[in-house]
Amino acid sequence: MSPRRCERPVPFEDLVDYWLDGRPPEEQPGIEEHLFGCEECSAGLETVAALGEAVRLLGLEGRLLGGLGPSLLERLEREGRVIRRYRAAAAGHIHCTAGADDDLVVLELAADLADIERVDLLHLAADGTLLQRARQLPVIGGREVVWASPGDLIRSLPTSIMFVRLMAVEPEGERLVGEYILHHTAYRP
Amino acid sequence: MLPSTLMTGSSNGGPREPVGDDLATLARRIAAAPPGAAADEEARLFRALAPRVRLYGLKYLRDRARADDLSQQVLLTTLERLRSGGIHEPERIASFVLGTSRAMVIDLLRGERRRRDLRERFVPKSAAAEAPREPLDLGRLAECLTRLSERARAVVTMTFYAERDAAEIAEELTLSPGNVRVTRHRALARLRLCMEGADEEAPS
Repeated sequence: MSPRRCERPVPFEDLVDYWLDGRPPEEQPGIEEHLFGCEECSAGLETVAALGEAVRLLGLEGRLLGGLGPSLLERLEREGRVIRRYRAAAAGHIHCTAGADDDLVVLELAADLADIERVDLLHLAADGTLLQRARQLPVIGGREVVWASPGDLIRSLPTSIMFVRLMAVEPEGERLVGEYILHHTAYRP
Repeated sequence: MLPSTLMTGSSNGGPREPVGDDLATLARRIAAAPPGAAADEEARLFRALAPRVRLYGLKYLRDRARADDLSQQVLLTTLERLRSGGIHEPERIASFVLGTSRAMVIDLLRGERRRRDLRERFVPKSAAAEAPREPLDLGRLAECLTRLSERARAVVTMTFYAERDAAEIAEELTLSPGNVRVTRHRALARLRLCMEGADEEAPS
């Protein structure tokens, strides 16, 4: 059954800000007064809390992959995850593999990404076949993209060459801003 | 003491109490009833308010077990005051519960600071995190997260897993704090819809 309807519901974004301490302190008591008396809004806040808690649990289980940032890597390492890192400049070669204990294999890909609104990452096989496209990556300090893959996946790959491309996606089209050549050596237990 | 009927239907993901109760009406009935004659109203009031107190406790204490304890303590105090006629404006019961919650959280935080000071002086740091309960379907959430853009997903995970505020995320990702908040609002709204099975659109 749905909660009782509220005549003046607190907007969802305000509930998010309240939960994350993003509201001015002087507004908190008023919001709390409303929440304690309102079933619908307190149910909305419960949703925000539950989503946040579930995201935290996914992180604790090591299930956060793809485009990350230094703070996420730092947190993962603090919790004991083994992270193998490779860093490369645009047009760089990366000789990579995965070890038996690696939880994550991370590519730190440098390029001039300042002022680019959207950067996508393409992952291609040696023959140019598109294996994966990741949209709108987080760009670290305007100069780097951090891409994390699970250790299990990397350990399953044969020795091969692959390409990673960073593309600026702009109204007039796409342009290449960085290409990286991965020389992968298969994992041998 | 809490009536036994109050010990079930917990605020921790158990079945929700059917809604429709007016808090003030329940509070007035409890206050007017002879001892033990309003057990049903007490159970309903408890079930309506316990989740709100628990959320309040989670926000300020950031600890599920302590938030559960807070919820029990606040509601116990509230019911005792209602039974004894100590609440003169039952129609303002929600405000009373909020005020009691605030006072208890302040006491708990003061006590926690004292305990933390002692712990930091005398006890080695423990790396063990509290074993969490699973509040949502994590498999479904993981799938819903893949529908977000990489940047939106990073903002959400930096918020809740890396525990960074909007200003810190903005600095790391070279965005404005306002942009981070908007990205986060949209991403969470999208996740909420997706978890409810209502978001089948292309990723954004």
